[in-house]
Amino acid sequence: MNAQDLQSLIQQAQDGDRDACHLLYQFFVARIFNFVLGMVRSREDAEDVTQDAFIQAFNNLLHLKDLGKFEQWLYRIARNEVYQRFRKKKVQEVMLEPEFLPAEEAGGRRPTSNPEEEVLTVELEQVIQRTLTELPPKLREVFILSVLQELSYKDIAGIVDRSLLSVKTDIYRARVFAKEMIKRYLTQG
Amino acid sequence: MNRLPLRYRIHFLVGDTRLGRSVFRRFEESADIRQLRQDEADLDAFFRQHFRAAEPATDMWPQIARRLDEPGVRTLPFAAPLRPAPRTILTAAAAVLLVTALVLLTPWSPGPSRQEILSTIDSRYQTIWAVDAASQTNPFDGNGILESTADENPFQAAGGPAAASLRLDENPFRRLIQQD
Repeated sequence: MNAQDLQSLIQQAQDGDRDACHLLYQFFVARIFNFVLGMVRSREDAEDVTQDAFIQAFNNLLHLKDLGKFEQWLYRIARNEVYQRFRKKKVQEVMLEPEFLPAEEAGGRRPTSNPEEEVLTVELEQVIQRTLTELPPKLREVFILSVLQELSYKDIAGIVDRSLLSVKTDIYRARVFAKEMIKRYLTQG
Repeated sequence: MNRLPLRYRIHFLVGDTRLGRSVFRRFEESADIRQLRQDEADLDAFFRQHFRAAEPATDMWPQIARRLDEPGVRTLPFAAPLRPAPRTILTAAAAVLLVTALVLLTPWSPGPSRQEILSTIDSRYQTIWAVDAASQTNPFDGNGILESTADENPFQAAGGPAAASLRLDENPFRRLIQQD
């Protein structure tokens, strides 16, 4: 979907077109859900937060003046919902175990025919999940947005409401931290 | 490279900033810098390759749609009346403008002065007092009953109603106005 189509869809959603809302949801839900899941580390919480974020977004869509910033705005709402949940429940973050997400639910990856390769893949996924879990939330959010969601630094700065330099610093620190964690896990293994 | 302050390293590593470009020009030939950049790229690639993105539940949209349909939740986007047509807004604005112009352009009359009001009230009170005084008769003065024995009527000596003088400061209406 190009930027013009997206803006047209947002405009229709602003006019109350429920189908347009559904299309926007379909277009963004996976990214928002994975961002939220990366933050709350519980599938149940992530689903609740994602739902709340989309409801907040659709209920306040008329407040969005710059339609070109819809994605950034949506991420920002999702992030606010995550932090509200942190405050409300003081969520004990739970690391996702590989069994938690069956292979058929994983995005794109299918079980390989080679058992050794499969074991290695699962181990690496565990390392990634552990590394993300170990990252402090402030670093984790910018790391996920930058490395996994591949958003620009400018967009990330808008989402987390911090200066560009502060975001860059945190991404740099997160990378250093993540590198150390991975090195440690891989050498332990 | 590690001797560089963190802020310079960040500008160099992450981006297309003025400071970043100047640092890059100075250090681009450095093996350390190339290694550092390669490490960053490798790390990002490793995460992207091995991060297992989760699929959201398929039943989330029906729940969202149901919650959007709830009357209390449906605040802005689906409440069409909250977003009047441009013609309605223009009409309302024109009406407000017209009323404001009329109010501003109509000459304002201050009305009668306080002195004029008091004067009118006094004059009315004088009229009422005079009529009232003239209409009062002593039912016991005996006129028409004991015409020939006026000196025997004990009430006749009392005469008519007392011819009290008009005192404007006793005008209750004037008092009310002055209290105001």
